[in-house]
Amino acid sequence: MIIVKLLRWLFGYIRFKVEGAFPERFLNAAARRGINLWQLTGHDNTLYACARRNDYPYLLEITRKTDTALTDIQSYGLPHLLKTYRHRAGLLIGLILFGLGCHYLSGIVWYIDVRTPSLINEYEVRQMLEEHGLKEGTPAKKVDVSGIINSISISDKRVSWMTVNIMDTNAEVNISPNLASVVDRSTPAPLSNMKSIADGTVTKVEVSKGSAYVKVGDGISKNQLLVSGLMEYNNGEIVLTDCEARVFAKTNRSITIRIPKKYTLCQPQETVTKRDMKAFGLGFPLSLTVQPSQDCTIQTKKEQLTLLGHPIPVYVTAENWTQYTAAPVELTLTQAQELLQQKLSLYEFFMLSSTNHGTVCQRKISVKEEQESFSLTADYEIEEDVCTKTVVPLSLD
Amino acid sequence: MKRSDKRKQRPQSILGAHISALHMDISSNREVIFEGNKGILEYNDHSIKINGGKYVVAFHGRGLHIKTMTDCTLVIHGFLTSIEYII
Repeated sequence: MIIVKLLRWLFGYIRFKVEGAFPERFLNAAARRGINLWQLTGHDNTLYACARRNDYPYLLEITRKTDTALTDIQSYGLPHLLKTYRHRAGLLIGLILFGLGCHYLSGIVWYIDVRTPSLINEYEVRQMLEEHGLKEGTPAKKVDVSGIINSISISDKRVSWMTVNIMDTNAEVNISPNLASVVDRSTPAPLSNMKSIADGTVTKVEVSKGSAYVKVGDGISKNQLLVSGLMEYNNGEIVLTDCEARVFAKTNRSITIRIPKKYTLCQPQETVTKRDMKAFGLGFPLSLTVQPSQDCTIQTKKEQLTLLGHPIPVYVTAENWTQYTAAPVELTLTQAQELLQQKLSLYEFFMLSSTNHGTVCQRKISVKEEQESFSLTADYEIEEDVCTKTVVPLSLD
Repeated sequence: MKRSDKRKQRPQSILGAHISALHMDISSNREVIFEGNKGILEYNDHSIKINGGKYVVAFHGRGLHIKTMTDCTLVIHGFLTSIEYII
């Protein structure tokens, strides 16, 4: 029925009123002439009906023969619209421009759906795609899909294979990771030794492969040979091996942290938010906020809008500007001690992270008040694995 | 040939050319599809009389109207209370 209505609208139709002594005669005559009528309503010698626009001259002829009259004629449909607006060239131009605009915009990639494994960062992939000419707003015809796939697969060893599918205005990028690049495939060295990375006293020796050159209680210095990969058996056989050992030793470390008594501290004041909207490559400000003239930090949040669950190429960016004002601060000894303790805890954390299984055995802390600063000196005694592997290059020649 | 002449020579629809007998499809008491129409004798919102050739069929009811009408077929819509055959 919708198609029938659409066809009627496309060809144009009229709605009219038939008046006369016997409107039924009009209906019969119209039916005999093959004129289709619809929406016939009426009573008491009056009839309303619809007919095709082209049938109007024949209807007039019928009214003359049947002694009826056609009144209240109203025209509907596309031909009527075109006739009404035929002098308004702007509408036609607008319609053409709208059609051209739709055609042009439908040929542009507006959304890129990147599906990456956790191994490869999505932002990184988007950067790579942008470098190779695929970003939001790029015409789909200009995207060299095979070129992108080839160049990214070759340049990034983490990518095993990738696909780029352009579907209308959406681009779908799938990436599969190259697991071989992640797995450590280092082959064991034919001969390696273990050397010391610091001075200290040996507390524990654990050797899986190799010959130990130190024992518990020995003093060691930096770069001293601790375990050798050259193993000599009782029967005189000599075997070269890749060392596996852990030698724990007590080592000493010292640090001095200073903070000035008087310094300038920047404190956050007020936060100003500026919003922008970017749609189809064009930017529009959503607020009239001006960037503060003072020192400030900027935090940016970009959000893509969705329509009925589908992302659309409209982005809203919110920039939070936090102003900072500088104020002079003078520390007391108690405040300085707190600050120095905080900094020391931080140092301790990173120091222990950098050692191999290191634990603090002893710690001596002293705080001094100097002329213009406070200083904290910490002496540590740490038990840690002091081994480092050195591969001995062997040549078959 | 003039356009009016062409119009006069318009062929009958397929149904009209082959169906001489009257045929009705009645959906509840709301709609009737009537084939074999030879002419409307009376038309108002409570009564429609149609010449079916051998006899006249009268539809009575409320709010009756012809939804669509071609040369031999018409669709009557409304609240039908009775159908009468006048021989």
